[in-house]
Amino acid sequence: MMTLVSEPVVGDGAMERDLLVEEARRAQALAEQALNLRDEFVSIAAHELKTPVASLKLCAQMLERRMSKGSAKPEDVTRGLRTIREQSDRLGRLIDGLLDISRLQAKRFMLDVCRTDVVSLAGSVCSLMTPLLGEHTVEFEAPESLWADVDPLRVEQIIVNLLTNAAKFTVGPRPIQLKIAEEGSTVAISVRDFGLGIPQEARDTLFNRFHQAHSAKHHGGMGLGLYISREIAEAHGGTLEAEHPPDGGAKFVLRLPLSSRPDEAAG
Amino acid sequence: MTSIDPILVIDDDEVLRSMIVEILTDEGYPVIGAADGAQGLKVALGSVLTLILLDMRMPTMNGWEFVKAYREQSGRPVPIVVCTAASNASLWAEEVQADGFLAKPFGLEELLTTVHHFVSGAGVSAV
Repeated sequence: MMTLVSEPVVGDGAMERDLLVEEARRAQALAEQALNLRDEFVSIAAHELKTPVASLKLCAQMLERRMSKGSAKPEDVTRGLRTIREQSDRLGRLIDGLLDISRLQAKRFMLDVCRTDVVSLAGSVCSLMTPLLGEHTVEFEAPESLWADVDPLRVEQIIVNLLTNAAKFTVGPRPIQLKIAEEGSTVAISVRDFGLGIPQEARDTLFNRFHQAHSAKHHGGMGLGLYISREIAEAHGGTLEAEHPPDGGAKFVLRLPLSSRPDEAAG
Repeated sequence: MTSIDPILVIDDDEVLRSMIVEILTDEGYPVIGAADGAQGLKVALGSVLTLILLDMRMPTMNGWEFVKAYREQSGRPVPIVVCTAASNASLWAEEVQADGFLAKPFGLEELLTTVHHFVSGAGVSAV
């Protein structure tokens, strides 16, 4: 008697089903991972926003209390007002970061491009940032000028972010190197530190949204800076890459296309 | 006048830490500030304290690590009040079996009431 075997057909169907189930499982795991990441981000963002709010609240209440007791000295008021201004600026910067993320997601991120001397721009950022970098000094090395068609405020934002990160992840008074060089048709702006460096396991996800390379140890910040910086670089037709020097620390290189009409620009 | 052992304030945010230290000092409490868990642990193990106000998210040594090390190494642990900006402040306090919590942004009155509660519980009062 001949037996009709339909097993291969059944087998194919089962295999297909298994593949679909496996695919669904993977999609679910990815969705869960994204949700966890979002929850973690919300928690970090709340922490970052509430801390300056706490300082503002306590500062105002402390001044109020001292004034009502008649014990507030003029220098207390001056210092308190400075704290209020600085903490308001800090809140403003955090909110700007959140707005950038929202604009990037909605593809509403606009650049206001103009011909810019990148060397002069980086030099100004360096001077403005140095007092804010605590015990770290910045070694600035650049040619006389290099022109690019960029949004100067956005390029400044990237350099500020890279210098701030370099200082944040460097313990003790170590120098930070800010170098600018011409590389073919691009200008390369590199920020090198001699700090903690990027752990091996964090390198692949370094530029991801909400990512913090040293998240287990809270160093402040919302993990948005590098993501936003790379998006800005790419919106200019440039790149932002991390390098991991063998002698420690981290190096970030921002490459932007040089202006195609340097003579006109220089004039 | 009753002498009070210091209150240790551990917070990596320099502005907030100084503010808490100043407010408590204004009220007559002796206060020591520390910038992270490691620095705080050094102080806590080397001093007699009344209370520890502890931030949780900190570099070098976070709040969880601090509590674990402090309780393991201290012969006479004092109450710990968790001060955190996390939305689940009470949960974090429970996690480390803290004696209380202050959810940031807490106000001056909340801070003083909490500190007073633990200081008076220790049988002393501010001068």
